[in-house]
Formats: sequence, structure tokens, C-alpha cells
Amino acid sequence: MKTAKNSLETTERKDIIVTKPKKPLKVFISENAKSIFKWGLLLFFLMYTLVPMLWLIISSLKTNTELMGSHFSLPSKLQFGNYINAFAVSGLGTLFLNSIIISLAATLLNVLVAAMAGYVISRFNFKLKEGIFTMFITGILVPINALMVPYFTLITKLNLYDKKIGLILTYAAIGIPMSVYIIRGFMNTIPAELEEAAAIEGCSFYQRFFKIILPLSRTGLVTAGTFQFLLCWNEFIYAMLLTSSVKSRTIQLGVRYFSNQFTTDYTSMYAAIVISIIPSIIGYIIFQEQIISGLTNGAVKG
Amino acid sequence: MSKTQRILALLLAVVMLTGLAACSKPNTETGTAANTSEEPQKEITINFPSIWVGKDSKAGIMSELISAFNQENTGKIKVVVEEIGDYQAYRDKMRTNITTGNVPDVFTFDNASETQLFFRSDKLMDLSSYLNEGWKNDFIASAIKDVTFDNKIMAIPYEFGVTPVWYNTRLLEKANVTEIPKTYTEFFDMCEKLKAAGIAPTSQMTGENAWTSMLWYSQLVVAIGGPDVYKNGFDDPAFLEAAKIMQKMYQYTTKDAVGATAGVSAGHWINERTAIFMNGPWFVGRLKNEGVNNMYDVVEVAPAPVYEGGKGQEGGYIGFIQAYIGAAKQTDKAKEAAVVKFLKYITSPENVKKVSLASGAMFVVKFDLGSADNVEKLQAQMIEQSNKAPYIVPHFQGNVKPAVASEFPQALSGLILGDKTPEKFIEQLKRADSM
Repeated sequence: MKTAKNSLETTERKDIIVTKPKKPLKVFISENAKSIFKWGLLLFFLMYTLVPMLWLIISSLKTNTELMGSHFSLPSKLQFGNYINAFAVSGLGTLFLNSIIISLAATLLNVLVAAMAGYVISRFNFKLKEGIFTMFITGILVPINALMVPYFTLITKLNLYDKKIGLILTYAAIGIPMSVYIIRGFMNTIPAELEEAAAIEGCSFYQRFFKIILPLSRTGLVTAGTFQFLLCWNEFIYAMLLTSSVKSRTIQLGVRYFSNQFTTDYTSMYAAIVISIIPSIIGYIIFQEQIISGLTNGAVKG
Repeated sequence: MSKTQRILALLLAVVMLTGLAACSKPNTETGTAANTSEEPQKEITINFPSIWVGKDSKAGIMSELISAFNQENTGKIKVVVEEIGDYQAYRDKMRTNITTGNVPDVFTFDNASETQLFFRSDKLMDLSSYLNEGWKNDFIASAIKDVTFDNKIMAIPYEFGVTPVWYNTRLLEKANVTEIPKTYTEFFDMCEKLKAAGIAPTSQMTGENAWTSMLWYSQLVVAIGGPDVYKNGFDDPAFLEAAKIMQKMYQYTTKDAVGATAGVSAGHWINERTAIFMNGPWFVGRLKNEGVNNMYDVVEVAPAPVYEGGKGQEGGYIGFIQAYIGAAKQTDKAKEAAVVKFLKYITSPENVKKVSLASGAMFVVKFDLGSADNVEKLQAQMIEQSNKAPYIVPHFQGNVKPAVASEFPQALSGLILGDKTPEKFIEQLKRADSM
């Protein structure tokens, strides 16, 4: 009996669905305009972001002739040899490892120093506080090319030319203005009461910095660290200027290895670029929550 | 200051001192190296930042030659190559090196205007005494003049390039063109035929340094104004007339020519989408490897056409020294001798011949070619034509100030897009020239 009733209900429902009049397209669009706009916009940005990446990956698997023949065609045969070439010709393996060491070390050093500076500028009142902060910020506006000669002179005088430590110190220094700006902005949002309570409980200056402020600024530190890591990873000019051998060079020099005075092996270069962007993607996947919340929750407030 | 603060401050100081110690450690090592280099029995190291690496056509043979030199001089001299493929980066680094007084022992440069700056810097080795011993007889005489400054020979002229017109005869035949044009009238007739046959006649570009189009403009300026045209500056009407012809030239090219890069421009040609191209001998390798449908077999090179009524002559060529070798001034006589020995080695006719035959490149060092030598077909044509040329004039970029060369691509884009008249185009170049 129960089964019969159920089947009857189903039939009735089917009838209703079949006989339901179709909504005109205009009505459908007007009812869902918001949703269509939202999805359209999202799809546009998805394409805008993904298409160049896909193009790069597909191009890295073509021959140069195919690439020049048609920029948007698919390869007739996947040329994994380009990736082998990227590693074999430019010694990409060593350069990759160097980049990881240099970028991580420079990022850690930069964030540590910037956090110390940001803490003092953000939490304490003293003479020339704003002047010192302005001095840091001015550094953001100076193009790094303008500092080539002084940095080169400094590094050679310190006998750090062609040494990883030379690049680490240079990168850490170059990124300090931006990192101080980000971290100080984030630290400004931490209520002063927290620190006051910690001071009443007997926390010293260093304990307040390391145990209260630093953990609470984690999102800001990750945001600054991400920017710093990307700067170190993608930087080319100083990597070229301050090194002369594979033992201290970075992956960006490997990428440019395929470009010569008059000719460029584009597909091998694209293969090297694909390899070079992998760590940035991994880093983003690991820290995406902190990065997004850092960018949206006030880490970059002035 | 509390006890904890004092401990932390002490720890930080130790960390800083350790850091400084780490920084200063190499100092000691270098100091030791510097001291030992003064001892005559120790091996002399020659630092050579090189552009002939990676995918450069000369990379393989250069590496072989340098290895052989190092082997011959084991324990005495060692040439250490610093590989820099990216040419702009190489330029930037050499400029910074010279500015800061850290001139590499041996290095290369190409720009004529930069050459003067380097020579004036007083940081380069004066090679006059060595070259005047007879070494300079290995070079084309005019090339030595280029590197003579204040009666001193300050560098070695080395690689040379000419830029003929490259024709794809298969595509010309499709358009019923059977002869390479000798005049610009014939040239534009040919372009019309190609266009009618659905083939874009020439590869052009205004992106990057507008290389291919800059070469066409160079050819036109000399064809109209003659080989001494640059002496008159931009007031010579040849520059204006050549700009007008460039506007016409762009009616016979691909749609993407404005803004196109060297890759795009060359890509059209090696994929048979255009029939005519202009470039130098270094492009032969790429044509062989990447030219579609065995394109290499159907390509011919020829001097640019003659401009009727112009001061240029038939067979005139655009050519330029694209690599000079410079050396740092040395205080250590033993090192100076080692550097000169290396320079003599890589510029010796037999070694230059090896590099030339292996790479297709041309040099200002004279060497004999025998029937047994396997000279590449297009290279042989270029050598023969340049030997017959009534004159060889450097390209526009090499004849003007760097500011003008930088302005040229943008000015050309404006000219082609119609934003600028030919007169305004010249004005823009003049403004850059006066900066």
C-alpha cells in the first residue's frame, strides 16, 4: 500500500514538472543577474590567471619551430626533452638548491630584523619615530637598479662577492622597507592592553616581543615573508651582479641562460621558468590562509 | 638593565660577531690568494666573463679552445670563465664593474659609443706595444682604427657581422619572382607580387630594440645618403627619406609587426610566413635547426637593393664589429703577460678559423680558407659579398648615441601607426640626440 502511494506521488510530481511552463530567457537573466555577474567575473579572473600559466606549460612542451609556427597550438609530440635540456645545459639543479637556501635565509633574516624594527616603531613613542619610519618607507620608492653600484662596491669590499651570504644579506636589506611597512601596520592592530597586562604580569621587553607580539603578528610576518621570498626567488639583477659561478648563483640566472646575444631557445627557457615557479606555488598552497587573511585583515594598513 | 636583558644583549652581540667573522673569513682567504698570486711559481688566474656560452653558436668551440689553453698552461695560467648568456645583463654587469674599478681581466663589449667611455676610463690595458710587435697584422687594418684611442690600442676587435637580406626563393617562386631585386623599385614590385600571392613580404619589428627594422632603416639611410651619411647628423635628408620608405616597407609586412619582438619577427620568417628577412650570420644555425620544410636549402642572401638617385652603391653592406675584447690594466707584469698570451691565443688565425667554421660567425682576424675547409653555404656567400662590397657601414644603432638607439623603437612605432609624420619622427630622434 505504501509503495503504491509513493509511486503515485512520483507520477504526480513528474506531471507537474513536465507541465511546468518554461521561463523566458529574459526573466531567467533578470532573476539571476547577480549570480551571472558574479560567476562571469570569477570566470574571467580565473581565465586571466590560468591561461598564461597553461600557455607557459604547453609552450614548454613544444619545439621552437612549433612555438614560432603558432603560439596557441598544441604540441604534436610532448617535448619533455626541454625539461632535460633545462637541467642539463644550465645546471638548474644546483641553481635551484642555491635559490632555496638564499631565499629562505634572506627571508628569515629580513622578517626577523623587520619585526624588531616594526615592533619598536609600532609600540613605543620616542623622538624621531616618524622620521625613522619615513626613512624606511622611502626605501620602497628607490628603484633597486639605482643601488647597483653601491651594493656591488659594498659586497666586493666585504669580500662577499660570489658568495651566498653576499646575496642573502643584500636581499634581506633590499626587502626591509616593505617588510617593516607590512609588519608595523599589522602590529598597530594588536591592542596595547595585551602588552600592558603582560608587563604587569612581569614580562620583560624581550618576553613581550617574543612571546606576545610575535605570535600575534604571525599573519603579518607570513605576509611580509611571502613578499620577501618572492622578491628573493625572482630577483635577477643582483644575482647576476654579485655572483660569478654556479656555486652561488640562483635559478633566475639559469632561466636566462637560454637567451643569448642574438638568439633565444624559448621552449627550454619556458621549461626552466615552469620549474622555477614550483616553489612559489608550493609556498602559497602551504601558507594561503595566512597570506589571504594577512592581505585582508589589515596587515598592509599604513 | 635586567639580568635576562644583559644575557640576551650578550647573545645578540655574539651572533653579530659570529656573522662578521663569517663575513671576514673569505677576506683572509682572498688575501692569501692575492699574496700567493704575487709569487711567480703560482698559477695565474684570468677571470673571463663570457657571452659565448649556453646556446650561443660559439659556445662549444670556445669552451674547447679555453680548455685546451688551460691544459697547455697547467700550473701556470688558468682561464676561469664566468658564464653570462643574457646579453643585457652582461652589459649592465660590465658597466658596473668598470664604474667600480673591478674590471674583469678579460671581457667583451660591442657598443661603439660605450667603447669610448671604456677607453677614457683609464682602467683598460694599453695593448699598443703588443699589437705593434706584428700581432696587429692578423687583423683587418680598419678594425684596429676603431679601437685606437689617443694613439693607444685599447682593445682587440674580434667578431664581425654583416647583415644582408635573406630571401626565401621558394616563396619568391610562388609569386613568380625569379630574380633577387637590385633596386628598391624592383624590391617593392616584388613585394606587390608576394602580397598578391597571399605571402607577407618582409619580417619587421618595433619591439625590443627594433632590431630587424633598425637594420632596414640602416640600409636605407646609407643607400640614400651614402656611406658618409652619419657625418652630417640628422639634418641629412637621407634620414627623413629613409623614414618615408620605412612607412612603405611596413605596408608589406605582417599585421603584428608593430610591437613584435625578435622572436616573433624571426618566427614568421623561419615558418615561411614571410619571404624576406634581414639579419646576420649568427642566424644561420637557427635557420638550419628551426627553418620549416628544409628551408635552409632555398635561402639566399644578397646585399640590400640600391636606392635610385641615392648616394649608395650597389653591393654596399651594413656590417659592424659586434665583439671587442678588452682587458683590465694590470699592475702585476706576470699577469699582464698571461692575459696577453691568452688574447693572442684566442685571436690567432688558426683558432679564429676553427671558431668561424664551427659557428658560422665572421671575424676581423684574417685567415685562409682552403678547398678542404667545409665553409657553410650562406656564410660563404656573405664572405664573398662583403669582400666585394664597395663599403661596409655600421648599423644605425652603432652610429648614434645610446639615447637615440633607445628612442628609435618607440619613434618607429609612432611613425608606422601614423601618430607621427616622418618629420616628427626625425624630430624625436634629434631630441634624444641632444640629451
